[in-house]
Order: sequence, then structure tokens, then C-alpha cells
Amino acid sequence: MNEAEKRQMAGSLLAALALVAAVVLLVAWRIGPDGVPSRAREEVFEERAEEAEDVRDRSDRRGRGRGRD
Amino acid sequence: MQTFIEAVTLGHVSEVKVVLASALAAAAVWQAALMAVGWGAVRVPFLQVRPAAKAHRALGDAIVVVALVVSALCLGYFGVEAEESDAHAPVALALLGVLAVKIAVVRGPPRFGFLLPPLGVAALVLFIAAWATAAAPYLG
Repeated sequence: MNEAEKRQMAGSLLAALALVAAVVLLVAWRIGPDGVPSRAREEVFEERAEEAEDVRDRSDRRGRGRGRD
Repeated sequence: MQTFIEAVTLGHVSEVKVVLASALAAAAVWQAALMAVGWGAVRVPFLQVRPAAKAHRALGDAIVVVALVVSALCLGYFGVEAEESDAHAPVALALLGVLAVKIAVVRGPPRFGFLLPPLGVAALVLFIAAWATAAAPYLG
């Protein structure tokens, strides 16, 4: 490879690095400065799942109630 | 193993995995762009075919290393059973398989070179699918 080609290769790799750094910063910003420990996050997911199940149960009961009417 | 992974990620296993998977997906898109130039499908004035192909190879090596780290985090901490219910585990395993075949083709006899474009496209699609089935739902 001549010098121009070496510069082009280095430039394309630097551009890739810049893209990856931008994505990492964006995702880190989205997650938040404090972060959430994984275990705690899993607990939040479980709570949400239980809430969704409760809502489903309530709507099922309402549906059955209307069916009797 | 779980204790080790928690120690290495300071207890933020999912967050580290999401960041790395997002970086991998972005790098995979860049890889596809580089190879589009490398194969001559796209011509740009600031990047010739040979340096694009060389950069593709160098970046690909780095991507494989990071993909193996993410896989180790995923399998070591969450396991396969935990993710049986969704599409992430089969997509991620298919991705590792495609990467293994692609590396074998790159390092093998040149007569199998015709397999590289479809394998590259498959790897790109699977990288994005792996991100979409794990990191995207996490990020909401």
C-alpha cells in the first residue's frame, strides 16, 4: 500500500472509531448517569410483569362479569 | 462465573451488554459500507478499493473480539435458558455460527470467496437483529 492508501485506511478506521464512540455516548446518555444495577433492573421488569398480569386478571374478571349479565 | 461478571461490570451487566451490543451494531453497519466500497459496488472519491478492504478486515477482527466478549457476558450471566422465550438466543447463536463460517472462508481457499458477500449480509442482518431483540427493548 502506498502512503495515500495508508492514509485512507487510517481515516476509515478513525471514522469507524468516531461512529462507535458516538453510539456509546448516546446509549450511555440514554441509560442515565447513575445506571441501574442489573439485579435491580430485573426486579423492575418483574414488577412490571406482575402489574401487567394484575391488569389482565382484572379485565378478565370484568369480561366474565359482563358475560353473566 | 456470575460473580466474576458482576465484578467486572461493577454490577451493571445489562448496561455494559447494551452499550457493547449497540457499538457492535454500529460497527457492523460501517463494515457493510466499507465492503460496499471494497467490492466496488459503491465508488467514493476519498476511499479506494484496497484500503477499504483492508480497513474492513481490521475492523472485522475487532468486531469478532467484542462479539465474543458480549457472548461470554450473555451466556455466563444470563444463560440460554433465561432467554428461551424470545428470539435473542437463536439470533445470537446464528450470528456466532455465521461469523465462524465467515472467518473459515476468509482464511480458507480463495475458491470459496463467492460466499463472503452473502455471509457478510447475513452477519449484518443478525447483528442488527441481535441488537433489536435485546438492547432495543432495554433502551425502550
